[in-house]
Amino acid sequence: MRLWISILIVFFISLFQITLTEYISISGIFPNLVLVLALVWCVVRGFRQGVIWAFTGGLFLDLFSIYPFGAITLSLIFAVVVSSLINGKFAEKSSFLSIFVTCFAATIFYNIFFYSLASLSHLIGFSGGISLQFSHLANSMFLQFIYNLAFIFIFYYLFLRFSEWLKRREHNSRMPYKSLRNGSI
Amino acid sequence: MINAVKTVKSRFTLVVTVTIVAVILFILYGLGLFLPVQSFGLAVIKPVQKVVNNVFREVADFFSVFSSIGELDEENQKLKLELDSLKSQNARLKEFENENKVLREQLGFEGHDNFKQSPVFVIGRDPNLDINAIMIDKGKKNGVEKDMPVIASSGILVGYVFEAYDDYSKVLLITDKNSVINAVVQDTRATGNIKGQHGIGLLMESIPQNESVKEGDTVVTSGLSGQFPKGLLIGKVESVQESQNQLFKEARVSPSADFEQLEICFVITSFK
Repeated sequence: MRLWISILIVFFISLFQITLTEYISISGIFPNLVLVLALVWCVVRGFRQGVIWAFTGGLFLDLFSIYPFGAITLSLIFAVVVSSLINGKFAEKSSFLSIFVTCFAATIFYNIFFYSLASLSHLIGFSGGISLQFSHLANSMFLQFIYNLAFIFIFYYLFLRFSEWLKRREHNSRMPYKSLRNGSI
Repeated sequence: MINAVKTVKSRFTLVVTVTIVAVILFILYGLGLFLPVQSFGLAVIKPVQKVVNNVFREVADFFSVFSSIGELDEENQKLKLELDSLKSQNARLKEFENENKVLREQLGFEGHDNFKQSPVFVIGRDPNLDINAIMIDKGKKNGVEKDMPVIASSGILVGYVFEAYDDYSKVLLITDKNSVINAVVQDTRATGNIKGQHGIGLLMESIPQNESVKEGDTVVTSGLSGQFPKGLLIGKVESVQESQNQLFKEARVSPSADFEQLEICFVITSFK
């Protein structure tokens, strides 16, 4: 898929996260749409694409975050890398159990890594006095995992269809060339 | 085997590359060198974000009509009663205001708490869990600076400007746990510090034991810190926790601002 289309999709999902979450948050908990999107794309199209989407989405979210720029990006990359290592180890790669475990791992690792970065930036004075409280974050991230799980299945279905359509397009665009080589045209 | 090694190597290279870029950006931000780039990035995104935000707002408003249709009549009655009570209260307050003005003139007291406000739209929320912050659509180019107070209509305190860019600003809400505001109970003048409670409510701490606070008391800004004008409404006391062994008591305060319905706010650009 062309890079600019990937960037556009990630950009709009990031915008949806910034604007939509105030309408769909429950007691202050909302899904991490960019994390879910990067995970799904990692499962559907491969590790490389998942990391690129995590990086791009992280850059967009960092623009709006009160935390030091790069904290969300690094957390997303870390979460996607760790989850892709776990994906397929407990069950077949695209099975319900595998997606469940991957989503759980990604949500937890993302928040833990983000908390660690936030604490580090607070210690070295990068955060402008803003700090996180781990006990409250710990409660919130389990609830966020449930929310992420709901969206991951929706995104997975949609992007699986999208990926199949892309593969057919890519295959068809190579067909005339193959036919020429075979001498059938 | 060779292909597997190549794949692992290329994945490793990709991860290391993006990580290094992100770390560099992190460090640049910490050193204060990244602000112009961030301002530019936000300015580029701004038109699209406004459109997306407006679309979602319209859709949410449309659906909220259906969800609240059953309660409209009751809410209407309640609001009418409240309006009548506020009208009479307003009339009495105007009398006090006039009397206060005359007395000040006679005694030579300087007027204070006249402030300039700039209306702003809320265009997004912080994407992190456990951070209660919003984005507004004005920044340094519109006279918004760091630490300026932000209020909802009628002088209800919402938060303060945490970071101001050229065209945007980030506002930390008073319900965020990193927000600490010096406050006073309007009737008894008991002082304390208002701390946010993870977006759920507010806690008024460090209230001296000998000062009176009770349920239903109104809490306002004290004006002592100089960051906020005096008398901005914060909320009402819900409950008081006191212990004879402690030097200070605490009170749970319910914020007056409706943070879930924040669409338009006002930045206080100057006050005296």
